[in-house]
Amino acid sequence: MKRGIPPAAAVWVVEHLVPRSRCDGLAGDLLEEMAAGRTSQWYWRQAAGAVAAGWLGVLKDQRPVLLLALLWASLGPAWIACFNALDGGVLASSPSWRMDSSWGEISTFSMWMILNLLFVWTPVLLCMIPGTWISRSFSRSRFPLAFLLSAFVYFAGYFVTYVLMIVYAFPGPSIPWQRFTPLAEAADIHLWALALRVPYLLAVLCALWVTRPARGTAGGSGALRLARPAAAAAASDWKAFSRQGLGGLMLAGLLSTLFLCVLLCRMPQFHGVLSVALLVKAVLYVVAAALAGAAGTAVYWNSSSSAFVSHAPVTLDRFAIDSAACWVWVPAAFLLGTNDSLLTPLVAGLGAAMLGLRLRAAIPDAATPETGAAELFERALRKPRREWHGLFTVLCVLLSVLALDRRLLLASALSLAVAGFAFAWKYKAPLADFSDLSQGNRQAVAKLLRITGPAVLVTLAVLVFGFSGIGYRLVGVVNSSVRAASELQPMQVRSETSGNSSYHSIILWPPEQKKRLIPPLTERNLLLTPRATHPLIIDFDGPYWYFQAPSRNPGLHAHQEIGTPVDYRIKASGGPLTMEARQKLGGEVRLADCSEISMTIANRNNRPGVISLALLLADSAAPGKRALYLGQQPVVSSEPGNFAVKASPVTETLRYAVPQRARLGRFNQIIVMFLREKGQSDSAPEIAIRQFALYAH
Amino acid sequence: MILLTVIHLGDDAYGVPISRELEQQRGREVAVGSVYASLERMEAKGLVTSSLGDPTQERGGKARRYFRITEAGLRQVAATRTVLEKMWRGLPQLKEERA
Repeated sequence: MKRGIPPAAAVWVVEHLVPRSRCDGLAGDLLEEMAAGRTSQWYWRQAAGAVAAGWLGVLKDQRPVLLLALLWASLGPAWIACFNALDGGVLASSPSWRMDSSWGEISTFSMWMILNLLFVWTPVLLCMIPGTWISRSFSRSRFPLAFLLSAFVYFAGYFVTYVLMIVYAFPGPSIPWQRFTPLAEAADIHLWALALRVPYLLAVLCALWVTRPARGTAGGSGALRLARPAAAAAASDWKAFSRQGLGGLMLAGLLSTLFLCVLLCRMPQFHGVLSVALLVKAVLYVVAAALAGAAGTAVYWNSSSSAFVSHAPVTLDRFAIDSAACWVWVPAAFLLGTNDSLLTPLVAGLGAAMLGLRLRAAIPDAATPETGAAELFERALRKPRREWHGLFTVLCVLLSVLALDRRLLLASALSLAVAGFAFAWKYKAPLADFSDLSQGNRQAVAKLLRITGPAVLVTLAVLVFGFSGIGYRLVGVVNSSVRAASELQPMQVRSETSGNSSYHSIILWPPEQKKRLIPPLTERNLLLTPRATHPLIIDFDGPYWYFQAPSRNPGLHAHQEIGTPVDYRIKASGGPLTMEARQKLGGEVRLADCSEISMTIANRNNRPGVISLALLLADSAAPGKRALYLGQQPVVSSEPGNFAVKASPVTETLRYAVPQRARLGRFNQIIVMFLREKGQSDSAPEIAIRQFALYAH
Repeated sequence: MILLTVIHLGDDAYGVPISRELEQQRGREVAVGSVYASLERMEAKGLVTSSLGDPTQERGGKARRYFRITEAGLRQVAATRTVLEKMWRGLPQLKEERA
């Protein structure tokens, strides 16, 4: 190694890894020092120090980008939990970190890719697309690069993390996808949750980094940042403001609020909820939505891509307060939307109208200077301006009605929201005198509070109607009548007991059954005649019971569900959960007449582990309530060799032999016990019983 | 210290002499990269300005980046000096040493 000549690798490090703004001067200085007699070790130390100091400075400059990427990536597992909840765990678990996982259909994997990319691209869209409209400091050619780069980095990062996790815990960690809940996953610090966040962080960081605004060196970014102007700006600021990304600000607030609603807002359970609790819940939802909207707006406002940092006609405080007049309506609209309610567009339109009114009142408009007193002749010749906004509003309302007719609630709500905003915008006169904008915050808060009250009441009403079931029934009746009237085929109204329909919840609020009087049983009530050629088919319509030790039978504290366990999940904390199903036969069967009972089940349980079903025959009329145990049969689709993640229920039939002689002479009830392996007993299996078939001798 | 060094060096203030001066004053090695990071921060605050000189052969064709103090920088130095002097005067044992 020659003295005075630096190591080639160290030179490469300085020229390629040191930020460009200081690279030339620094590299020249180091060469000059080397020529003056410094050693190679000195050059290496300087190179390492320069790289570290350079990137620390750059990261410090781009703190908002870094913070946003970190925050967004931390929500990665929560996002997975969201789409896991939407599709029963199929999407989340399809490319899981196990070698034995099924990569399944291409469509499932494509959907998984799209959902992940959507999550990665959302902050880019949030921060960058309005950025081009604002200061034009970005070149449009950077957006495709950012999208492509983030997609590439995400999948590369995912692959590397995937391999590392397999190496770390072969064949990979067993991730309980089914137990994921968005709120819990947002704060999950398990190894797999941290590993899930890594590709998101890298991808979001790369995308934001590529599209961040270029900062000048002379004069510096700091100088620009310090130069935040006063709120009262020139009269032409409003148009500039709207061009600079008012849409982006509102979108940022709306997305934050919606995200919070997805994580937080839930309809109450149908039992054990007090009215005071509902009121507290409504207040919490509304306040949290307002804060989330303000936070989203603030993040966008202060992001590196935002031109508001250097130029804004109003203060951030005032803008956040005024836009919160819209965010407070979002929880009500969201809850109505999840219930498939026809009121969703109405509340969305109301919120958007509030936003239009408040913003119009807060932000100064461009003055339209009159050029003196125009001559009457000149004014008569002047063409009146076309009021396109009126046509636009009517079109939006029409679109909303059409979408509602087609049951496209989201499109309907969106159209009506745009219409509401446009109408309010033109209805409200712009602020003429904006000299006291800085003193207007107190008034704005008072107005916001006046709007928040009704918003809380509406949210409470939504929660209460949901609580009592009125909302569901009303929506169900209206939807059915609309469909029946439009299609004129009342007999072909589809039964919507699954999917995203509002009828989903009918399971939770079943109509009260009429009491049936059962006369004393006689020999004529025997359901199964000896030597019958056809089996006696009994469709299962009994309850499912859930209870915990020390109870061995459903007691006072047991939880009862009517419906199908395939559509809901029951979890317990503090001990193993026992599940039973009971079917009353409505008559008696002599044991001697029955040779075999077969039971048809639907299995949609996606947790690994063998499940067995035990069958008991009981006679509730006999003294002591005797029961006969027929044994247990394993569910074949839950056995290790046959287990797979199920998108739809798998149907199976289990058979049980009936002994001819036993102490139990006859039975009028069938009890099914769900038996599971240790370690998976904290949640009930998603297995439903369809029917029993009783075979005669 | 860096601001004082830039003032001291005058028109000849670029990375190499600034680092050497700091090394001489402090008596230990100085990372040139850290000096540049500090100078860029000060430039962003408007305390110094920078300009590029001509590229030279001994620097591998790289230009020197000269730094000059601004009025704001001078005011900052003067303000810091006033504060420091006031604080020094507040230390009794050091008064005795001076006497």
